[in-house]
Amino acid sequence: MQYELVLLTFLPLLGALAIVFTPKGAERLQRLAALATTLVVAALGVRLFLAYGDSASDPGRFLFELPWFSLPSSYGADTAVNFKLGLDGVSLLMVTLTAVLMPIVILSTWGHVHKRVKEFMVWMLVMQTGMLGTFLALDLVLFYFFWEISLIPLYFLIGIWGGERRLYATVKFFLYTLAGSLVMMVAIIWILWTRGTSDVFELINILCRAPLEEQLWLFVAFALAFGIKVPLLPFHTWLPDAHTEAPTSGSVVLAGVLLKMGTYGLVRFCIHMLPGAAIEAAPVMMALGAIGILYGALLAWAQDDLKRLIACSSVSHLGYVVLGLFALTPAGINGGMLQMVNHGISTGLLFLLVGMVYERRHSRALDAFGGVAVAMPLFALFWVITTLSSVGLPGLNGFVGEYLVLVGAFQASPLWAIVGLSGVIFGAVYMLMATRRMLFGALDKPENRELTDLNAREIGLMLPLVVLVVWLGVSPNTFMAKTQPSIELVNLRIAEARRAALAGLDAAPTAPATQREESAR
Amino acid sequence: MNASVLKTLFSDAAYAALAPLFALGIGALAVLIAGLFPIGKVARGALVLLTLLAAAALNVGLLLGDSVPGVVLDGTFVADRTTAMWGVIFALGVGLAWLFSRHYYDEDASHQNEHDVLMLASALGMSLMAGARDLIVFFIGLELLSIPLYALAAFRRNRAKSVEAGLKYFLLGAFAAGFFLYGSALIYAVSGTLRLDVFADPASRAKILESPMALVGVAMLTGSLFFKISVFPFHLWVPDVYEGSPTPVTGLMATGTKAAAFAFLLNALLALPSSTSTSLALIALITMALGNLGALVQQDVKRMLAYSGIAHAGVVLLGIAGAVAGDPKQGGAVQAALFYMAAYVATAGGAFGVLALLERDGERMTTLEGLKGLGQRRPYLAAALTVFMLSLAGIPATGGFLGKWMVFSVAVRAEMIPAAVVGVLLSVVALGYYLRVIIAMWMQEPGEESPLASTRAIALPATLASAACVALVLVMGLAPRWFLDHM
Amino acid sequence: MPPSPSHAWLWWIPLLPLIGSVLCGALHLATLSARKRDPQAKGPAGLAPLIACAAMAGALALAVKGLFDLRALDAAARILNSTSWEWITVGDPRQPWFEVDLRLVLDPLSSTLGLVITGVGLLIHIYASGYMKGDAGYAKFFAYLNLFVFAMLMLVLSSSLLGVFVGWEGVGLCSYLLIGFWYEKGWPAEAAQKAFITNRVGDACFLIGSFLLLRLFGTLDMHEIVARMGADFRLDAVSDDVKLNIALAALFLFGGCCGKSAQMPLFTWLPDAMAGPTPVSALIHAATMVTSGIYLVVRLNPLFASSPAVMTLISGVGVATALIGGSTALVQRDIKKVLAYSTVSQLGYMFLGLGTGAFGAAVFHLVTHAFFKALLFLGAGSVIHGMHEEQDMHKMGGLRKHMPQTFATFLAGAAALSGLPLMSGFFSKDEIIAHTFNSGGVYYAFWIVGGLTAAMTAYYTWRMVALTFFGPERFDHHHVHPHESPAVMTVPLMVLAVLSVFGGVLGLPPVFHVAHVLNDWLAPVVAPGVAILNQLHPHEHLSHATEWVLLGLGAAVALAFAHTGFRTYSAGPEPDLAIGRGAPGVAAFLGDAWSIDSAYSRVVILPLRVFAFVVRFIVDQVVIDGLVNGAGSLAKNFALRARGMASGQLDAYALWMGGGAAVISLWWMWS
Repeated sequence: MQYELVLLTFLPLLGALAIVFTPKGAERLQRLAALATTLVVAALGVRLFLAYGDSASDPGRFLFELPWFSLPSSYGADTAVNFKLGLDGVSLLMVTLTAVLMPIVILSTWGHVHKRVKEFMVWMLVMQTGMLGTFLALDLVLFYFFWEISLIPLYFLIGIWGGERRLYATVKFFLYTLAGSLVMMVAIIWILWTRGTSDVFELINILCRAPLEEQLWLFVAFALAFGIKVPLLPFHTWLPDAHTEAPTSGSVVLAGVLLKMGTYGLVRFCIHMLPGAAIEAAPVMMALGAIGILYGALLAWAQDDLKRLIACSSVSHLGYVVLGLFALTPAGINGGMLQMVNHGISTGLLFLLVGMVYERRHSRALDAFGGVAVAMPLFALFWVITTLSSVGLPGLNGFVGEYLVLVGAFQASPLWAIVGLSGVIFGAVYMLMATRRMLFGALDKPENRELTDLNAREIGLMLPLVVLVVWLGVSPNTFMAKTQPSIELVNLRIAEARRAALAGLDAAPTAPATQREESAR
Repeated sequence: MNASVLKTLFSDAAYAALAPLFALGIGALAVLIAGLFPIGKVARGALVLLTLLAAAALNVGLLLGDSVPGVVLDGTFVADRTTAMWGVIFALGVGLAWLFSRHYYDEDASHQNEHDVLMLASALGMSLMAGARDLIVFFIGLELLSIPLYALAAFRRNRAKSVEAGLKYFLLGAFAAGFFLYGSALIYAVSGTLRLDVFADPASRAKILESPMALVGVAMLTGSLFFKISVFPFHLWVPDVYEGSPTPVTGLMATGTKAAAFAFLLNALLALPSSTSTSLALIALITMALGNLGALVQQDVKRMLAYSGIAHAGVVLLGIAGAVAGDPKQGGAVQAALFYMAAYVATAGGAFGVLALLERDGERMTTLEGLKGLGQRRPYLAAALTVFMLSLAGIPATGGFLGKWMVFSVAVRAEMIPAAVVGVLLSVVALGYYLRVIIAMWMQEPGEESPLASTRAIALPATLASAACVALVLVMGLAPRWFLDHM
Repeated sequence: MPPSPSHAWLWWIPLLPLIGSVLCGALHLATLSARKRDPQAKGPAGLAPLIACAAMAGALALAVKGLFDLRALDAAARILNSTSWEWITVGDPRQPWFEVDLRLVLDPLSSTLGLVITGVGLLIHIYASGYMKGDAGYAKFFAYLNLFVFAMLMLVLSSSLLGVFVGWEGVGLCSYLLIGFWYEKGWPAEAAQKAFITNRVGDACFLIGSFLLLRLFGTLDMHEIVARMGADFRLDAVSDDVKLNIALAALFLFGGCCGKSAQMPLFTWLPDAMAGPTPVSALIHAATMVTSGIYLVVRLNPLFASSPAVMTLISGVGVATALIGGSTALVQRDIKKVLAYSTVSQLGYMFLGLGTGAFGAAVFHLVTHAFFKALLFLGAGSVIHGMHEEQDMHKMGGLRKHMPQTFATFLAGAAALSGLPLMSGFFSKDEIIAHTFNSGGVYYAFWIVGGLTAAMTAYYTWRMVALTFFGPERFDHHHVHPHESPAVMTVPLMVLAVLSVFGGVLGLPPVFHVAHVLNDWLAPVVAPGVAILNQLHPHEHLSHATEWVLLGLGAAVALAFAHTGFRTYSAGPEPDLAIGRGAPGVAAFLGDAWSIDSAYSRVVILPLRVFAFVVRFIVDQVVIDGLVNGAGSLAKNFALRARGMASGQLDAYALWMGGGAAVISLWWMWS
């Protein structure tokens, strides 16, 4: 099954093409086609997840390489740019999440997408290809390709199906994220020219012994792109706007997967590829992460629009991820990786729930609600479970990641760990505030009395996620065991870099030739 | 001059080298003559297409053939693979402009015949410019290109704007030509020759360039070329002329003319001392800034594309600056510029073409207002224009992206990192207005000014042309190997 | 310690209630769907109490089995390990960077609390099946209650600190859900939120403590930690840095305890928690959850013992809380509020005891308190039930003839709480007081305050009895018809009454020359801590004479103030009004629990809220987003300026060109 990854990546695109040629009116057909495609992709993703890491399955299955084109390099030969997809422990969870989340998102659109269904489904599927490609690409140029392409679908999703200020939000999102990635482009050009390869794994072997100053420059360029995407304080202001204006399904994908492209990049490139710079920059990044946690929480606390509140909470949650990753300790990195998934699931659920209540009530203002639990007990049940997972209640997914992040951070810097810990308190503050104002109290508003409880479709599409919420909370090892070996490599790199830094010989630039030999091995 | 000289002049290599030019010249004459006889529009069109295809084919032949004629005609003209590739690009540019012009003049039935002749002539001029290794030869090419364009710009002569455009273009063009001649005179005075190859040898080049007179000469040459590629501060004519001229002609100016000028500029690089790289980079950045910022506030898409064209010229110039500063990669700049312009010809040519299709009485329908809701009425047309916009913005999977990548690579290789960073950030501004077009087409409901054009069926040639453009843009973006290997 | 033959069955102790909870939850959903079809339908909710009580009975049986299994072993080896669940593993499983294995451990301490939780819990479940009858969320209630028991058992049985935390937050969650059980009313929801968040503050401290322990010992397994600080651990051998870390760990963990066990400064949530149904107040906010702080300190006794400063702090906080709680209870009109503040105050006692190193005594008081406070709450519930949800004692009176069984059992509880001689409370409280006296130094002050609080306790307890059951009937006979509660509610009361009266036999003072059952039982658990304390300052036991004096003093104070309290109010609530008239300031100050709560909302919450809005409207929207959008508008402005260049004037264009060429050539000449 050499082509499994290619299939996984481009099946959605094929589905999109198929939908393009469906007759204009056939909305039902288009919906079902999209659903079917994503379901197949999800199945593939799960198969890969299960197969990954068990010795029986052959490694070739998780790698696909095809010569693509070549660009100038400072060596005699040109830099071969390959179409290289690969699955490893760093990308595994993200890929699986992307595959699994998508059918749920598509199913959720039954409720809120009624105009231009065809285009919507097309963009959704294109987006999935973009995201999967970004996570799977093991060639720097290819990664950049997918990285930028995946902006476009969301740009349309927000711009066409969004809310009042959708145009402002979508342009802001596009320009802001692009500004970051273009600087990264210059860095990539530099790497290709000076190192003569665009293979990520080779570069990981080469760049770790680049002079520290060069590493730092590259780090800044990459971190800017990823930091804006994550989004890291203070580059976060596009997110609440984008989330608030996006249609429910857009928000789910944005929170569930797109933001993770940033954190994924941080692990893959900023930390694994440039460990020396990562160690230098760790204090700053941890500070940004920790402050982000607190900042996002306060921001969320001050919101009165439910969706915006959750958007701000994303800033806080992703602060945890960054804090953990740049603790550069095993616990921290593992926690960060896990927290990516957790945030994807919990926040995805929250946005789904907000969407469901919005479809009924056509308002997201907290003051418009009150006593909803009486009218919609099942909704209340799901909401409370999700809230608890998002505030990190032990036994649910949020806790494990959060705790590992904080343990790791505490080992690296108690101060920032404790600042981050404030998120544990404020997280509860704003989520419970929202819960109380929406679900509890008297059911006094007439339009809330009319609210109907969740229907079978809505329950059905959320159940898988709820199962994951519990599973990740009770037995995180199922997932961590698989990512473990790859993350161990990252840890080794960091350890090496630490030793080098201590030895004071921060990686004198060895001759290019030897670098290439080593990378060849 | 005796037979031997003639023999050396008109060797077989020379014939091979000049074949594409002959093709274009003969074709132009043929169309002119054919115009005297009452043969149908279709036949004449076939003739034009044939000519262009022949030229393109001959160039491709040179491109793929194992031996290239190289420098001929006593060192005044070079026919290497680069020239050939330029030739292909010109044929493409003119071909597009011509295809889109087919039904453009239907309302005011003007002289389609002259129109075609002029277009072919301009193609001839471009090819001559691209291959010229001698200032006079280049000047002939320049005028062969410019004079037809002056006429074409004013071609809708019952429209004030069109006439005004032609006049402005002509006057300033003449001014620029003056620059060129004066500059070459100064150079001749110092070096005693008009050949570029005197600059090839560093020693003689240094000797020439230490005389301020020669430097002024080079500067004036550069200035006149900057006029053609529309670079600050020689770009001011562009918006007015582009807006006024018939849209297909605008397309030709934006793509073909620029390409030709760049082709020669890349040859003339030899003459530029590396100390000028800073100034060139600065000019390039200012041009990008002015172009993008200018485009940002336009309501008329045609005018907007004019400004965006200025910005793109700036981008390529940045690459050239890198090359002047010293690009460690031999011929890297040429390759980059070739790829960039090839992509740009397809993209901008297509974009102007689509605008031409949308146009009704005058230019009004090319405003953003007019594009609203196009995605609903003409999804395919809108999709094509979207692809062009993304390519102009340099989004991956389009030729524009890879072009941008390669040009900035030149700057990076020449270690002009800050300039490169500023450049890419300026292209974020550019995205600002390209997105506005997309927004209008897909994200806004049709206004009262929406294009009635959208009810009109599109003629076959235009359809073919735009489809070809989209295909080319995507192929260059997704499977660029062939282009990269042959540039 | 190597897990000796592992007993998987231990898992069933918490799992049975969990299963019960899931089943009850299912029943609730079934009932909901039934009601959706027709609102009058009863649905299967009626089954819930049976399932829940069955689960509790099962858990209790297993706990008892555990007790006997333990007794079968010899004192040193009294430990049963369950199989362990590898919860979190970071790194190669063979030598992980960090791992958490969940393991249940039954030892004297956990089995004691396990028995209390399951035993008292079972009684309260039975009681609740009568008390909550007819409530819309009948099944849901039992689902929550069982879930709580599950979490509480995880808390006391887990050997890993993180396992404790699972229970720790779990009980917090259940308390949140149960306080807010009647969320339609609004204020219960707010009380619930307050409880959860206040607890979260404590939990954050708990986590920091766990980080520090991890740094110190590289593990979170409490038995391993205690073992490391066991027999051959010499405090004077460790470096100051380690000492500091130990002290910090102890401090932060105690912070967590302050949250859960409602101590200063985090006690304010407990009185509000009375918004929940009364059985909840009895089970969670009197008998079990609020005592988990005491459990944690005892469990990690060597850790706390080795940082004297923290020990003193614990006593100080404890006694202060006891005083505040007791004094506030003096003037409450709401019967449940009286009991709530009394709970706060009694918990204070337990911490006072812990601070003196009297771990056994603290647990002893914990147990007896569980009996009599649960009894009092349930009794109060029975009263409220009989009075049609009336909680104001000023509107009661003379109820003894209307509800005799409640009255009798309530008396027993009151006697125990006020520490009348030979009642359970008498012995447990006096043991703590004696230890405090014995510790000397600053503890003398604590001892005096403790004694004062004991006096208050006796006073407010009997004030409550008098106002409720004696004096003229002050309720409106037309609407309120007091009636005795059904047997399903009164029988648990009687059982608890017996326990409250005779619970003292668990720990008779030395002067009686009989074994102190509980202390002997807990001895192996607290041994390390005691050992360390003796290293610090070996103090001899009290002489019998002093013991007698202290006992007599305690008895006298209790009797005297119980008498005055009763006499003052047996005629009715006029004295309250008198105080209100005489010293309104004092009355208000006490009534509002020294207005600490309102101080918080002014000094802490309000500023934070304001800050949040500053962040949103100023920092975020104006400053940060201002920069972002500013970049955009900046570009626009430049653009509008630049547009001026394209004037359309040919001469201008030509001028630009000429000038440009000139500048370029000049530049090139100079460069």
